[in-house]
Amino acid sequence: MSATIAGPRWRALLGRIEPATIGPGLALLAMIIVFSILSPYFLTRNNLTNVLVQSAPLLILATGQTFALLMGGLDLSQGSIVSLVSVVTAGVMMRDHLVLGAAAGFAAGFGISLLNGLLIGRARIQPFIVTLGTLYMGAGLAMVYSGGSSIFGLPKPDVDYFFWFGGGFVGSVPVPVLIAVLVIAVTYVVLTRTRFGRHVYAVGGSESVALMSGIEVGRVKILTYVISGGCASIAGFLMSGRVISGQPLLGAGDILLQSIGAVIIGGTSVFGGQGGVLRTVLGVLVIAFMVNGLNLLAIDTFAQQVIVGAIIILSVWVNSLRRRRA
Amino acid sequence: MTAAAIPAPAAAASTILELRGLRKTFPGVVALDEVDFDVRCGEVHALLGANGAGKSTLIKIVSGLYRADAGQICIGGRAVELRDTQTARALGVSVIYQDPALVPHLSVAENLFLGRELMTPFGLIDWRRTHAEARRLLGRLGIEIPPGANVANLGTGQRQLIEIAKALGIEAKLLILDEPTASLSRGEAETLFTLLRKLAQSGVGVVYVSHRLEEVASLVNRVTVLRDGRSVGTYPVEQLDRRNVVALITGQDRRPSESSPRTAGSHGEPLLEVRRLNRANEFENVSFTVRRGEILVLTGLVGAGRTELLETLFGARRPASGEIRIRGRAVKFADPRDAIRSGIALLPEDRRGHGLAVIMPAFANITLASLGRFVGRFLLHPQRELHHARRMIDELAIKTPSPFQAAGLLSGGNQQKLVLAKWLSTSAEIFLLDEPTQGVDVGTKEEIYRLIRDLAAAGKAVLVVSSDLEEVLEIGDRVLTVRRGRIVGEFRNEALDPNLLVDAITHGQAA
Repeated sequence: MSATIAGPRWRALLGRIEPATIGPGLALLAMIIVFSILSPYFLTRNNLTNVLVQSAPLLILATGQTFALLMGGLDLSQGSIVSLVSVVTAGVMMRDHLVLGAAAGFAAGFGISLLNGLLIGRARIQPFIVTLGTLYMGAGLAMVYSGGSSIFGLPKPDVDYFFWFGGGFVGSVPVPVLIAVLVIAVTYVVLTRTRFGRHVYAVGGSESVALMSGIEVGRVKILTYVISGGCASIAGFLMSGRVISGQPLLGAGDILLQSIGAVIIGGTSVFGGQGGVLRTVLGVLVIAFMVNGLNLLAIDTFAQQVIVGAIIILSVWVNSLRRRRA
Repeated sequence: MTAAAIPAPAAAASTILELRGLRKTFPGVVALDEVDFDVRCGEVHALLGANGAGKSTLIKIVSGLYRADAGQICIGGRAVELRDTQTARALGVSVIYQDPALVPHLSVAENLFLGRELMTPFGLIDWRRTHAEARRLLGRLGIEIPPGANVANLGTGQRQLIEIAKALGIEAKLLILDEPTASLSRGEAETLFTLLRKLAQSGVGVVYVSHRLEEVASLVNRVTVLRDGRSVGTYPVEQLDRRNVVALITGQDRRPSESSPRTAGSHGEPLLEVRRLNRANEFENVSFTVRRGEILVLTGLVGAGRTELLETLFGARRPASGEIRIRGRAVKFADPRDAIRSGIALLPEDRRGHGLAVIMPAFANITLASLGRFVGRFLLHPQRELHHARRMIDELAIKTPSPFQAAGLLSGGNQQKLVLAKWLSTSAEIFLLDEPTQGVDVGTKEEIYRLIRDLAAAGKAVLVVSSDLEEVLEIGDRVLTVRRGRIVGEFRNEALDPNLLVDAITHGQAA
């Protein structure tokens, strides 16, 4: 109510500073202050670059996940898509070259995402069920294709280009960070400045209202899951390039849960219709810096999991308190 | 009817609820400002006011949902602090909202004793006693619903009766009903009134929230009117008539609209023609024509198949047989999108479920069906979109602190205007309006009527579904009466005797 339109007007539309972002924003700030006091290494250029490079795939995954959550859904298959893209890309690259490998990998990722989209948008099965199913299918396919083992020893010189995507630099900017920023920028424009973006919010806000307003709800859902899976494919490609191999378990770790967690920590509503990609960036940074800071303080990874889990719950709790008071 | 005239019984002297200087503000709005209000034991007290006058806020404070910023609350003569809903309930306050809060797939008896289940000594539920007690409770209130009935199978009216029974089961001393008849048929409303009179006679204080005096005049003892968060006075019901209540509610000495019905005959070519349209169990052999510039009203009891008919015309349901013609061309709609493309707009009955996305900002609701208008070469043009939204907000006098306000936070009348604004932003020529003024206050009602007349004057075809007789007479050029899914009568407004209309609706006699 008191929020007036400041700066460019389009920022005022969906990108105003929301009270929901204050919580994670302050958490991030507090963390940076505490860690930089406790560890002299934390605020170095080297460390910060490192954190950004490591969190680039998560940024991309969470950006795709943001679409799914905004639309009132969820994409559990992202991790499996990462694994599948990894082994298919590397496998085809072994026999042919990088371009064909990348094409095959992205095609595989697209196949799973399209399946998600069609089952959710056309067959109208709940996103949770569909993506739980494709989570298993994708993970299984990655194992079947790779025979359960990693694909190493990619041919030269393609392997160097492959690594460039996951670990190279343009000037002094790491390539994966550049790609992540690009994906986020495009997403921001799509969500705030296109009809499709608005339709994602509308379907998440109220599917029946969207339907009664002439929005092609089925199409919006299909596109949403294609985008979410597409982001997972990009992330899978970059992650494989970084390890210059095909890994059937590349996405099997907690990267999927981090992707969903980051969107939620950022303050996008789990029920859909409210939120945005900038909030997700905030969420990813909270997770990334938390993990990095704890690493620097030599706190083991298992304890880190406890802390990240607590932050997810805390952020939703703080948001619900705020909403209750309103 | 007769019971209403009997003054409150001996308990009249004691006051169950007393509010002094109640104040509540929300960011940017003063919802309640120094409000005094009291309810005696054994009376039915009407709380009237336009939407946004502060009725809901007052109820929410008394039920412990909100906390007042200032003021005193006395219940049963003692000053109390209502920290939460449990505290209020423990003090005997029971609120019944428009949408009954019962668990759908449990039985009536289970719902009546939800949260205070009767137990056997072994800690299991004592079903025999539960059913016996439920039967006794329902019997005492004269409610003829079996305790074993599944609540999901009951109508809204029956559910409301069950809620009242539940409130009494926990020994409510103050019963607050929030616009309970909004979705009830005439018969159901009568049953409800009889029950409320009975309750008042037994010493319960009843607060009846409404925005129509006509509806409650036969029931209540006193009336308190709220306007813009202030109480404009409490009056014995005998001192009020429709005209001065409207003046109190709106704050202007405006006379109830007596604008003459529009003259028929000057309408243009047919825009919407319906021929022998059928859908099993919903409507049968429905035929009519709406012309450019005409307002056609379909009236009948709730559940007569009218909403289903409109949804079929809008492409949300498929007809089993029959024909729909738009501008003379036969059409078949696969979904609402097709219908919207053909220039049809539907203002749905279920405003919050189908009309607007309550968590989205007002401006986004206004432009939801017409986003294409604001797309430049590739991208949405936010300035243009916002500019358009502001213009609609001005034109329709939508009361909102800003275009960014979530639609769900606006009052019912303003929400309805938002839905209307959404369709006025499209190029629709055929407007289907389903109960356009339901849950809308007196002042806004007049504004919506004016908007509907403007639509017709601008050459649109308007089809209104309404069960509000005054409304039917006020806006209709022609009136069709529907009974059990069939059209049973057609009237021209000039020569329309309201009694004929009521007869056709309830008995199905064609004129």
